Amino acid sequence: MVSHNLDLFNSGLDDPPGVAPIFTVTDFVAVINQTLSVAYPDVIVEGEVSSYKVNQNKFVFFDLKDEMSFVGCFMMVFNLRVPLEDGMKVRVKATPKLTDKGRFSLTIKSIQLSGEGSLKRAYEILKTKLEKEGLFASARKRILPELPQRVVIIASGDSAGYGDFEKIADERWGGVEFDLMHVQVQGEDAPRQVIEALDFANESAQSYDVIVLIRGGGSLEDLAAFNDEAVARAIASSRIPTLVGVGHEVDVTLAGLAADKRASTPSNAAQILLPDRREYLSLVDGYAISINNFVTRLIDGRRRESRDKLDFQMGSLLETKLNDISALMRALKGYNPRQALQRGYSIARFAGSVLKSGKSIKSGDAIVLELSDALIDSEVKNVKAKN
Amino acid sequence: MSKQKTSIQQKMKQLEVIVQWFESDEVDIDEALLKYEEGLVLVNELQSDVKVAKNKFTKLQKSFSKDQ
Repeated sequence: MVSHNLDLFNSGLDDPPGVAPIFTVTDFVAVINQTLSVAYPDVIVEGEVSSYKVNQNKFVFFDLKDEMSFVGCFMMVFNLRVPLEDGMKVRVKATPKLTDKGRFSLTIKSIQLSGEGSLKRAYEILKTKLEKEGLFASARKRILPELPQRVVIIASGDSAGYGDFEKIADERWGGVEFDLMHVQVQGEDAPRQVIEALDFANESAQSYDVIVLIRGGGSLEDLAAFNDEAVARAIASSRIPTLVGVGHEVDVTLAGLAADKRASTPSNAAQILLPDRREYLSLVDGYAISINNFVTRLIDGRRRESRDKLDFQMGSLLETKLNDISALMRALKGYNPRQALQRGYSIARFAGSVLKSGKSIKSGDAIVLELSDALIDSEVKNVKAKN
Repeated sequence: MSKQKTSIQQKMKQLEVIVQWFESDEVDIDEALLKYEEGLVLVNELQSDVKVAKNKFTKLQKSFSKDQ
C-alpha cells in the first residue's frame, strides 16, 4: 500500500497542477516516512540533551538541541548504554520519523557520549551507582594465583599495549600459556566484543587461571568501552579472577575498579601477574646456601665429636659418610659458600669455627677472614651488638 | 609445558620443607645426607626450569567482531 502511494507521489510530481494526487493523512505520513527511510536510513546527529525523561522504565524521551534548533528523540531503555543527563553532549545514530501525531522525531538506535565533559559526568554517575551496589568492594576481590599456568588475554592483538604486556611477561617468567582473544578495544562495538570474550573465557572448557584485560592509554573517549556499565558488570561477575590493565597510571576505569586486581598499565599487569625470574632464582639460591651451611656445620660438629670420643670404629664409619657428603658438596657446583665469596661475601673464622655471632668473640681475639682468593689474619678491635 | 609449571611450584614447596627440616634441632646425619642430596637435585632442577621455560602466546581463532 505504501509503495503504491509512493508511485502516486512520484508520478504526481510530473503532473500538471490540478491533477496532483490527493493523500489521506495516514498515507501522507507513510509516504513521508518512506521517503525519509530511503533518503536517511541512518543519520548521526550531535547535540545537547535536554528535557530528558524515562517513562515506565521502558521509553526514553529527550530533545537534542543546539543554539538554533531542537529535535525530539525517542529510544528504548535497553538501547541506552550510558547514563544521560540534561546538558550532556551526545552523538546519536537514529532514523528520522514522522509520528502518527505529526510530530517529527528521531528514533535512536545507539547513543554515544561526546566531549570530555559528558564522558566525565557519565563516569562519575556510573561510578557512584556501581560503588553503591558494592561492585568495587574489596571484600569481593579474589587473590590471583601465585603462578598462573593458563591465562586469557582480552586485547587488541595489534596494539602497543598488548606488545608491552608480552614483552614484560617474557622478561619476568616462562612456561605460561597465554590465549589471546582479539577484540576491538575502541568504538561502538567494543563493549559487546569485550563482554562476549569474557563470557567465552568463562564458559571455555580450558581451565583458565586468570583473565587479563589490557589496552594502552588514550582519551576518555578512547577508553569508553572500559567505562561501560555492562562491561564493568561482566568483569565483576566473571567466575575466573580478573586483572585489568587499561590506560596510563592516571586512568582509573570502571573496568579496573570492578576487576579483582587493577594494574595501572598493560606492562604493570604483566608485573602483577607473574613473579620475577631473578627473584625466584635468588630465593632458590638462598635455600641452597642455607642447606649447605647446615650440612657444613653438621660435618664440623661430628668430626669434633668423633675426635673427642676417640671412638675409632664410629669415627671411621662417620668418616665414610662425611666423605659421601663431601663428594656431594663438590657436585653441588655453584651452591657452595665459595660462590658467595666470589660475590663479595667473606667468612670469618675464630679458632677454626665459622663465626656466626659476636657473642663468641671479644676484642683482641685473632680471627681469620676468608675471601675468594685470600685469607686475612685479623685482630678484633671492638665488638658491637647490631640492633 | 603446564605440567612443568605445576612442578616448579611443587619443587619449591619440597625445597622449603627440606630447609625447614634442616632448621629443626634434631638432625640425623643419615637423613641429612639424603635430604641434602634431595635438596641438591631440586635446586638444580628449579634453576633450569625457571631459566629455560618459555611462555607460549596463541591467538585464538574465535572472532568476536559482528560480521563473522
